[in-house]
Amino acid sequence: MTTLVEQLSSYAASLRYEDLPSTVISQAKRLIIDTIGCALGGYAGEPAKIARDIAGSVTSTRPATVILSGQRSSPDLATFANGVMIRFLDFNDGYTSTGESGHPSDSIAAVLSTAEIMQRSGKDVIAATVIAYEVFCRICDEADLKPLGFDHVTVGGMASTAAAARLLGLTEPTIAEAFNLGIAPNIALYQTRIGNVSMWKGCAYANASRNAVFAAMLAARGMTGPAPIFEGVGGYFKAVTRAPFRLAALGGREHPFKIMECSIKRFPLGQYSQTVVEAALEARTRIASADEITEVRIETVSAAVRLMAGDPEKWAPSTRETADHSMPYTVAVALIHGSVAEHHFGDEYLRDPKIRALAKRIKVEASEEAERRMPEAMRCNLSLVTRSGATHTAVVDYHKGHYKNPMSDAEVEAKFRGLAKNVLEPAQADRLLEALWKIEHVADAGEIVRLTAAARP
Amino acid sequence: MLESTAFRVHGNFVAHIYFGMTAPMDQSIRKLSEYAHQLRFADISDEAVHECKRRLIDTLGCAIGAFDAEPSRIARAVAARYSGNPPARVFGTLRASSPDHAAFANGVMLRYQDYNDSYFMKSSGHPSDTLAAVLAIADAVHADGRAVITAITLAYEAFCNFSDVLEREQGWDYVLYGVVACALASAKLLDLDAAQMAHAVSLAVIPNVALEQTRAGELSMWKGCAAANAARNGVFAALLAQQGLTGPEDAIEGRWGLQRAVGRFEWAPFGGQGGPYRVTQTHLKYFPAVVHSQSPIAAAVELHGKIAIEDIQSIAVDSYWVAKRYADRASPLWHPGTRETADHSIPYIIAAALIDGTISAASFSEARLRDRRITDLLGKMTIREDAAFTELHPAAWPCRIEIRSRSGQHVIATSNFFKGHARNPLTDAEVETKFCQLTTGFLDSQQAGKILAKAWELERLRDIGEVIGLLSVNRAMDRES
Repeated sequence: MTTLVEQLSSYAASLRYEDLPSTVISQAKRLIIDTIGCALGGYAGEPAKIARDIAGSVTSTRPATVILSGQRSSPDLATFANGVMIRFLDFNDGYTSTGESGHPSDSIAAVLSTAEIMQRSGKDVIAATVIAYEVFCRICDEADLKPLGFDHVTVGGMASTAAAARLLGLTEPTIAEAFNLGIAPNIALYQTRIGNVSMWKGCAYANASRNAVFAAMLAARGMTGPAPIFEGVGGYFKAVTRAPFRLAALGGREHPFKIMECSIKRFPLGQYSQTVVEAALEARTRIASADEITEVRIETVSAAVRLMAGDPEKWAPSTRETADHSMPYTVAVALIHGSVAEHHFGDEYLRDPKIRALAKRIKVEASEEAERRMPEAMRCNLSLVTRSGATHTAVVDYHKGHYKNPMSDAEVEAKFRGLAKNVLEPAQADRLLEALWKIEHVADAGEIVRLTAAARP
Repeated sequence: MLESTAFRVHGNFVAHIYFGMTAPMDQSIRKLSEYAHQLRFADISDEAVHECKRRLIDTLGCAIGAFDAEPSRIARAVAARYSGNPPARVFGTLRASSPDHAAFANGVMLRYQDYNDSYFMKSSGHPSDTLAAVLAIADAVHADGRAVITAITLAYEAFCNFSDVLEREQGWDYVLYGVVACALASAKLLDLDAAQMAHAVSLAVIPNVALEQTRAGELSMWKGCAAANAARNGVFAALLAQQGLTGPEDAIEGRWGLQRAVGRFEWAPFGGQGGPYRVTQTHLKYFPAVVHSQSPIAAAVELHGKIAIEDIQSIAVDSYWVAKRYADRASPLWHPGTRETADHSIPYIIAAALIDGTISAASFSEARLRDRRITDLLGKMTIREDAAFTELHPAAWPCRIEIRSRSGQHVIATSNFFKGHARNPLTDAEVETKFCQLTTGFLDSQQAGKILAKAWELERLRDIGEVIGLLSVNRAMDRES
């Protein structure tokens, strides 16, 4: 019987760039561009600044570069800093399933750092990215960790381990040790996502990747870890999922790649609110002013109701981290301001009585129809009831950027430029984009991150 | 009271940082971090201060003694790639690394032989593992001896309080105690305020739950490294909190917090709040073998020489529940083929102690593993569980050995508290002897003497770096990369 780690390490060791269909390569490039854009947009976030300060306190004989700042740090701390920047705005891609959900692009932080220290090529970066997505999404499919009390970054660490171990050039049995070493000590609790959300929300996956890189480096040096880490009497199946699972066939040959089922976010907020905010914006076009609204009725998937409107803090958010995961807040902002952007999570908006008052007029319900469509669609049916008694309804199944309603390359670029505008001149952003579209021709992957630093005014 | 202050950062949005002495944290985090924040060197009893010094000496000896172990080399090789600003040094090589990687490398060394101290209550562990974090941060910030003593005392309070209140039956590895203890002790050395300390605890708890698999089945190198990794992540949590990063408010008591995974618990009173400091309650190991063999060794040493080995007809050992592990005569524990099995085999260790009158590293040499006199004695030995003994454990560690000779002699020895147990402590001279034995061949006797002298004067030391700076192994350094 093959263990799960054996299956994963065999895959991580053997998938070749040459075997990837062009659609997969193109999707990987779009997601890498989107992810680096998110890091540029998240650059100024306080947790990002903290993570860079810590990364900046360490030098390395084989350094990895921090995005935009160009600081040279250890690969684990560069991964952490880049990972925090990528995730800070919660604007990077999303994968949803009936099991666990999350942002596989978070693992690109681990890909970039390990590729840089090993001077891997752009093609290696693409292959490792596809591997990370495959590991993340396939494991997410099998178990929802939230009701068990654990955080999806536990799976994120596995995805980052796969990518890091692959890029370090480890053999299959050594990749297995990297998994053993990466999984055993890094089980994270779900509390990160609940109540008054702290800065850690945007750092948790980055931390999992930091530890994944460390585990891969230990394995590379000959360290061995506990096995079998999933199936053992004290393993993951016993303590975390409380039941064993097997993975569906991993992408390659005749099997589809999971990276094709990942969606690019249109709005900088939780992925469960993307269709909701889009529906709100659509319905808004039919009224003259948000002042007319007496009630907002939202029917969508139950997970969205639970995660984005399920606890009292989400109805009166006091931190940026809570607000961008609050359905009432983001819908109210959309209805009043006609868009939801980063600056709408600033303090003057968080304290705005108009937003708070409108949020109170929102009713959120799980809908059976939406539930049936999960995870293929995240249907939202939103109705505005106005003073005159009229009802304006908008229905959105796939938000713009959803893999079934994909952004064009031009739209991906537009999102990138919007994210880069606070830190790069437009011409610099264009040059960076031009280089990123040619990533498969880059000989030394370190160039990718170094380019972001060079682009800095 | 929560004060929220928002301020602009370079971008066009605003971040929040919470200030003030009281963080809006759950009770368990608050109690722990408030205790940590108020603990002062002046509050710590003389006895606890002295025990801190003894554990420092003991732990450093263990670290140097494991310098050549393979995991030690691996951890040093990884740490050698980095340099921190401020740096922390790796024991033995004295190479500057980052505090988190130095904590890992030093933690692997000090734990690898399983020879450092231990604590047994509802769950067990090696609280001195936390010295990996204490010494790395202390080296980085040039902490004085009093700050180090305070941090060690605090780390032991956190680690051992977890052991006091949590059963180890939840399927988790206890290294989490170490992450939290190391985060707190590091936070103390970094002089964080109570709110930052609370965040350090939260940031330590949330991502660092570990699987029990590390201790199950065929053991990997990670068994000796997991606690060092806990120290590494404890240091990291404190560094994040120092910079103002915030963690989940209800990391322990929240609906999806730690207690969901490990069960509900409430802290027992902390040291100095009516009870002794826990650093005085842990046990040092005198003999380099598994802790459950320590009482059997004491009894066997007492019987050494009373009956000629060749004349022994039977050896009956009574012990607590650990006897159950020896029910299967075919188990490798009755026929140890490797050093790692032998130093965990109570029968082997008793046989060697009866023959030699002591146990040392030499007891587990290749030659001794094949020694017919030992294997003959193993064939004559039985181990039973005595239910009364199981009742007494772990408050006591009872073991009774009864030997009968062919010539009709009959001798019995009983041991309750092994040598090094908190209730049968090593003398300071014995602590020094163990240190010197462990460091022989790595440190010259002058170095060892200077380390001991400075450690015994710890509360007058201006910079712990003076002790760490003496830990240079003066051979084979050219092989380190």
